[in-house]
Amino acid sequence: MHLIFVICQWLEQTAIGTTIRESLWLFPVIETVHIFGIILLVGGTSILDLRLMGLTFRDEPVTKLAQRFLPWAWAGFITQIITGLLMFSSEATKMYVNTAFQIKMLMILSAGVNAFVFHSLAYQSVGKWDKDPVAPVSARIAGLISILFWFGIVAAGRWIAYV
Amino acid sequence: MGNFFEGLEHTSWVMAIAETGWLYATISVIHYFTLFVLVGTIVLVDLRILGVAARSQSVTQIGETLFPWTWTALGLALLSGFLMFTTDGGDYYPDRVFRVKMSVILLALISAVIIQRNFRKWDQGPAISTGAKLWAFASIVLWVGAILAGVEIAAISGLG
Repeated sequence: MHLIFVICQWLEQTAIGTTIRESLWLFPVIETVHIFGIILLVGGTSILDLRLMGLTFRDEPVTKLAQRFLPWAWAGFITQIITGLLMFSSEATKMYVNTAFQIKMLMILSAGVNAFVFHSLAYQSVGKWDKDPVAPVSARIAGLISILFWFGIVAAGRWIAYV
Repeated sequence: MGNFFEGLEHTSWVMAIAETGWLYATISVIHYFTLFVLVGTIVLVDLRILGVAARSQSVTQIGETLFPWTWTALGLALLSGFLMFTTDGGDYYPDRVFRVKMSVILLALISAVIIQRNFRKWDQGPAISTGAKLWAFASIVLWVGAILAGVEIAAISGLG
């Protein structure tokens, strides 16, 4: 994957990457926004995952909760992409070889695949189980996998500093 | 006080945490997860007071649902934070950025207690008072500041 490494080197040399890297306060400010983005994104997805598992808000229809919380999760996700890219651009080659960062990216991809599969399959029949306090098995599994991935993504993100 | 923390660094259990990479990293992860709940719940109630979020529930409802989580998370955040602190207490204690973080957290906690003690009363009237909204806004600013200060410790002082 030498091409990706070359792209990382280029990113680090851009004006944005350099400015962020050389500023004492810019990276921490972006990192702080990234932390609030986590609360938005993982807060939103976790509430929905817990509902699918039948562990919270059991008296609320799944679709109603999705309507309420998915917009926040998406807003959080966009925040993370932007702040993540900004931070990445300042130290791309370091992240490229960081095992925790690699695992984090893989898990984000996997969480996306899990969400896509869930929405394409189990969620298609939500009209039948929307008001059930506990969703069908496939939905419960999707919820569990999702929450494990998102918590793992956050943990891997913190581990970047320690590997 | 500094000498006490310097000495604490050399106790066996503190050194175990400091020298076991995965243990320290795990405590750090726990610290982050607890602060998500701590700050997330407080800020959400603040945003509700400001009328910006969670409008389907009253201030009283959302406060009563969330505040128990707030204080549990605070306990765990303080514990995990203290454990990390002990591994390098001699250096953390006099550090300017660390002291700023502790001061901001103290102010933020005072504002959280004030909001916790008053939110039901504030919810009585037809509309939330300007004073209540100012407290809520100040609370949000303080917690953003607390997290920023926490992140700056590593960036400026190289600690942690």
